[in-house]
Amino acid sequence: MRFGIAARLALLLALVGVIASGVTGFYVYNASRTLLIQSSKSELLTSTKVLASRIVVAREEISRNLQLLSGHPDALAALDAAFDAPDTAAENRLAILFEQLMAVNPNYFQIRLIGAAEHGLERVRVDRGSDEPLRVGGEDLQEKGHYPYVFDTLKLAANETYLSRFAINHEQGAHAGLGRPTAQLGMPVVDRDGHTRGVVVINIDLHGVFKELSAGLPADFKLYLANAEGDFLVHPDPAQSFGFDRGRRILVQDEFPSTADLVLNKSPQVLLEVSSGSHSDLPVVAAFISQPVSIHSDESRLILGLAEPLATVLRQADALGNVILQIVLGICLACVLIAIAVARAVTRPINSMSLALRDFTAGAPMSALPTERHDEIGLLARSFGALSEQIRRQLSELQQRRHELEHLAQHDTLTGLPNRALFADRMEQALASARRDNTRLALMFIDLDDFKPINDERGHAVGDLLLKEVGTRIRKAIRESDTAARIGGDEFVVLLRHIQNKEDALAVAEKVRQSINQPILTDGPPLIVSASVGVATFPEGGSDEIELAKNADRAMYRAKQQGRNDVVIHQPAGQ
Amino acid sequence: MIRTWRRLRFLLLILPLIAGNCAAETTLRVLAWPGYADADIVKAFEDRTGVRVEVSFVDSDENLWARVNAPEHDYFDVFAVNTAELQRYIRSDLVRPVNADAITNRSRQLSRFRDLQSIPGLVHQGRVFAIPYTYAEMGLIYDRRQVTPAPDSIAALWDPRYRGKVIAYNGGTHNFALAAQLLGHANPFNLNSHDWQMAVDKLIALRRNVLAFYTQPQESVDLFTRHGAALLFANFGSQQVKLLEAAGADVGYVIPREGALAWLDCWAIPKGTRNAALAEAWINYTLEEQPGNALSTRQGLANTTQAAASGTEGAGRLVWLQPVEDAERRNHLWGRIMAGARTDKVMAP
Repeated sequence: MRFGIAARLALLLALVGVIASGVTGFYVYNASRTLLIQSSKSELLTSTKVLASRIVVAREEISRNLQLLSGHPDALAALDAAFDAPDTAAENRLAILFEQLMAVNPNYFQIRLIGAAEHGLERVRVDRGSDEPLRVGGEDLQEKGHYPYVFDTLKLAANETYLSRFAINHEQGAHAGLGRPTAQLGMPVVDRDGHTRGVVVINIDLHGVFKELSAGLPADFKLYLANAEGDFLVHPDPAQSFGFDRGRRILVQDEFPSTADLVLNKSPQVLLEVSSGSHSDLPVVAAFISQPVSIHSDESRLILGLAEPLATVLRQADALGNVILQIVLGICLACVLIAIAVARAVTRPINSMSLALRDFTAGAPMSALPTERHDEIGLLARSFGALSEQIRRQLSELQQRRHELEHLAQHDTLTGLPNRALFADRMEQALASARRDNTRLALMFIDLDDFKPINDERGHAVGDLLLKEVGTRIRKAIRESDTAARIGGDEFVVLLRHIQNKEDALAVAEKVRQSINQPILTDGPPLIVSASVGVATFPEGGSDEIELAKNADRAMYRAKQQGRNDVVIHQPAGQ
Repeated sequence: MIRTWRRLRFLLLILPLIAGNCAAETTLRVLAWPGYADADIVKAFEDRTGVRVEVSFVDSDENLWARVNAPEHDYFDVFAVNTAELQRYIRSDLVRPVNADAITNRSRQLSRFRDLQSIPGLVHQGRVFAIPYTYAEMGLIYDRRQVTPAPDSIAALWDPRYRGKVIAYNGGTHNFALAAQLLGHANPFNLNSHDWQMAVDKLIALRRNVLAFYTQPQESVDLFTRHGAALLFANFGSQQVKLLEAAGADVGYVIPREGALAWLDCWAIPKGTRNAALAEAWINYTLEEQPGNALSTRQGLANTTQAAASGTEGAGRLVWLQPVEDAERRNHLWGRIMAGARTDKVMAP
């Protein structure tokens, strides 16, 4: 009973509201999370492309420097001189130029002028020492003809740039650049006749270059660079780059499986999300692009990528998620309140009807029914009102009938006086109370004298009229609390309660006898009847109703014998 | 019928070892190089013998050394090691002699592998410590259109006619052996103090004659095809021939008359083996036709039971790699030579 319709309805409505807002919130969150990841991926892609174009710009700047050096008259002059009779002045001037360039370009490891003759013997060479540019000369100059940056660059036309593979520099004597990730960019030195006399080569520090290029990126962005085969060249974890140099290849397509499409040259870019392998702790979103190398190079393509922790991306989603959660909670609360209100609105009239019904069954006046409503509940209330009205009417009719029947059962139909049964009942009660209270009562037998001749002569209608009038006169002659009854054709009894003594009873009996003896008006001549009255009193005239009746009856007969129209009181023996 | 008999004989051979072992499933633990024990080859052995084979792979000599030296829980029953490396395992008492008579399939091996005494390092004090399994020789690859007749000596690498068209390997140990061979040394792995200068001169001369030095097989193929090279010192042997042929090059392959440096991988049994007889059954099995074919067709490696596909068998001898007198010095000097240093600078202290 605790969970009535109201509670259940409220629960159902609230549940529907909560589920609806929860599901909506969840989908909104998911959709916006996906959108956020999508947008950060495309942001990453844009950044990666920007980075790629910065690489091109950086390379072009090196090309311009190479152009400056390879076109410098001193370069040709130095190469024109034989190795054993060098043009020292030209070489020195060139060396100063190299040193100046090294000073302003901290990412240059080495700048060299290498001759085509003497197996690619270096002619002017400036290395990066521990701090400052370091001129290398004399016996320390090396033959580099067997390196691709020499034999490949020698094949180029003037002002064309060669780019070597990105590798760890193992050339002994390379000073600061030794053992470091390096790329060589070269340009041929061509004389007026179009003969290639040598090359100018700049070794660049790949770490430095990529550190510089990625300087503007957010701190948690990670930069990746791989060659066309997928070998990592730049990796946030330096131990993962140039694995091939240590005999163990470490490939981008192993760490980021979807970049296999780039390595296979199937697609120019991939956007990905990785949460497995080394990224299982810190999932990332990443963008990778495949950038063809447009100049002469052994590196056909480079694969460049940027990664961002998924957590950074989702921080925004989490903020959004919080707002969504708050909204959902708000809606849920509203749903609960509305559900309660609706449930109450629906069940209040039902409750008031059930109250009315309770009052109705209890017989109390019915409390107000919601009959004024124009809805189903109003109709129900009105029907219920009509029904209860009908029941009430029929009940009261029934009650009345019952009263009538009861009256009929206990009263004489002619005179309206109590009949024998009712009288016996009252007599019993009066006796009981008299015994208990030690009071007196009197029983009076009244018999009309010569009634039969009147009935025979004047007819039953007059007889009945007479009996009726006698009944009325007896009733008028006694107190309200006394009882008169008709117990036979012309016999009446009267019970007098709470009398002081027999004289009282006698006085009443006398009064009754006299009132009966008055003329009675009829259609014909007035009638004068008399009555013989016998009286017995309690306790003197009998201790129970039978004895009392017997004695009253005897007294009444004695009155008849004494000449009628008389009152006789029963005298106990010995008085 | 023959097949059934052979299987039966095999079973008879290993039955005592299976019975002798505990009731639990017998396991053979193999330590090998990639391609030496492919899954299907292992499966065939398992099906035939009912033992379980666990194969672990190594990718470097150092890795192999570390694992064979590993504590008791990481024991192996049999492992593959080259003849040069084998010596230090014997010195450190990590391997036990192999019962060569139990390896009945040795009768299938080519005579040069059957005669264990002729291969340096396999037999010590009359006891056999390893059974040859696979090898690769470092022959010369040449462009048939540019080089006629086919070269027959490593001197071709120094031939000025091919200047700028020679591709050599970037490795100190092998290159000093090559120079020693050119100088006519009987043992190219042991240079005397007065040999160094000459060897360095030869290698500087080689540097001046080559187009470039390579380290990876694919790199050599790229250099060869892109620059129209004439000669290639094949440090990876027939594997490079295969790659070049796949790249469409018209190449020939020769074992020079000085003999080709060659590494020879053998099966050896560690002291810690739990089932030497089963290890020997495994060695015997790998000398059958199927495992041998897998080596040559899948890996481009030569097996010891069939003559090399390129028809080089017999053209020249193979010089099995041996520990060199001073690997560090060879590599140090080579580093200088490779960097382009001139003679005085190479030999400078």
